[in-house]
Amino acid sequence: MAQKTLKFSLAISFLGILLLLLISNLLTKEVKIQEINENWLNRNVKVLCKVTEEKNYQKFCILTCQDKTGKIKINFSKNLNLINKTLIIEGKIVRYKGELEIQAHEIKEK
Amino acid sequence: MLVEILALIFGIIAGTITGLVPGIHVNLIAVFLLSISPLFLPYFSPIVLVVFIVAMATCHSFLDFLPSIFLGAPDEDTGLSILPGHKLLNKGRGYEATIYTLYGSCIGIIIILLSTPFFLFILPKLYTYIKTAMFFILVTASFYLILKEKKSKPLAFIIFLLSGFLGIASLNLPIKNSLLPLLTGLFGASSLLTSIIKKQKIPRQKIRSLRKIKITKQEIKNSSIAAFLSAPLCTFLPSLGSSQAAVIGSDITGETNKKQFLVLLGSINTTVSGLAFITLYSIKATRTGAALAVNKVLSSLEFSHLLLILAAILFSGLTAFFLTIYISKFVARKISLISYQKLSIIILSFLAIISIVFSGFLGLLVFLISASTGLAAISAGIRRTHLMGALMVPTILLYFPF
Repeated sequence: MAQKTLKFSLAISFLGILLLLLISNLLTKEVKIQEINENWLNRNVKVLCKVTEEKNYQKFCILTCQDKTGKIKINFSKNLNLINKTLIIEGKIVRYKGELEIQAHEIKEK
Repeated sequence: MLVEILALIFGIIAGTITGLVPGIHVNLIAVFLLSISPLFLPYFSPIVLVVFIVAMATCHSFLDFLPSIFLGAPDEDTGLSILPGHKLLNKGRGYEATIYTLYGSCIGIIIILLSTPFFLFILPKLYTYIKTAMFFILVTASFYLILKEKKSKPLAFIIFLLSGFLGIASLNLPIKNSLLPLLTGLFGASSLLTSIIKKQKIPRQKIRSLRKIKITKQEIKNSSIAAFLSAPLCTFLPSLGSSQAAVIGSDITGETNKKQFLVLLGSINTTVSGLAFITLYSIKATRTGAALAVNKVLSSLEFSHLLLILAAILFSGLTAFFLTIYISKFVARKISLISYQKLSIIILSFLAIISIVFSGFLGLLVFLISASTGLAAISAGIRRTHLMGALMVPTILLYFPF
């Protein structure tokens, strides 16, 4: 009985963990800006923050966004007018000139 | 001062509830309190909230062995108590098992007071070096625990790794309070499932007076030394839990019987709970959810706050001691009258509902998979400390130096 239970539970566990790893790669975790550090490099995140600065360039824009815990720069491939707006930003954590910033692939207004 | 005393009393009440209700951890309440603290802070000093949290955490550490021993629903700190505790419960000595953990918790209060000077004056000087070597310390601790497994080392390693991947996946999911379904599933749900499968029946419990619940001076001494040496490790080594410290501690002092192990677990549990606040003051490290909440409520922890915290630990510990005796007598009288299998099903359903309420349906999925992993460990007959891979592996990766 114990052997059957062991095999069954190991199988469920193994398959379940594979499923969770797949889901965790597909869905993005919302984090506070303060939590973003080196360990998040190249990982996808979601942040909720307010735009405090905006610089529009030819093919992209750099936003400075702030939440209750900190500030971070967001790099997005379109020109937008989002100053003082609260946004939900999804993107990858990258390093540019020694600083961590978010390379956004999706920006939504809250 | 009156407000602080009221906070202490309410903290003891809250700690009693969190200790007795399986699946409700003091960390959960601390996080909840933090989220509603803006409602209180305009009217009360932050130290009032701190006193509440400290009293709740200390009281919880005394009482949380009750669900583990009587209901088979431990958390990650009390997980190892279930085997010796349940063995005594099945012999009608569940009340006695609780008293041993209570003796341990009292020893834990003494260890907190004795260890405080080390934590205040010596640990801050050593901590930088410890942090540098953290990866190697945690890897060594993990392998030590696996190699110490008597039943099957390969299975222990598999369970440790499976739990590790489970932890990594769960902590990266977009769910709130991911630790709740993870640890509740691994330790609580798996034990309850085992009780349901085995159709366990609890015999009538004997309630003996404290004078007749005997433990020798040598047994107390061994457990105290083991706890004194191993419990402080949990407060500055991340992801190392009370159960792992108990295994390391009992290895230091040699073979321990059921009594000694329960005393050891009780003392480690309370020591970790109390020393977490001392560690917060000395090295600014938050080791428990309750310490994290205190860190966020107080902009800076002063020495006067620390003295108040120590006083709150002493007073709430003393109250919790008598509360636990009273409550465990009541539970011991009633437990054999209830269908244990039905009770286990009710508690399991309750834990599943809690997972959904706090972490959503994705949290329920984590709960079910964690329960399966925990069940695998129980079926394999190996120590449940290996399930702490769920926290150790992500922490080891965090400190990976290369």
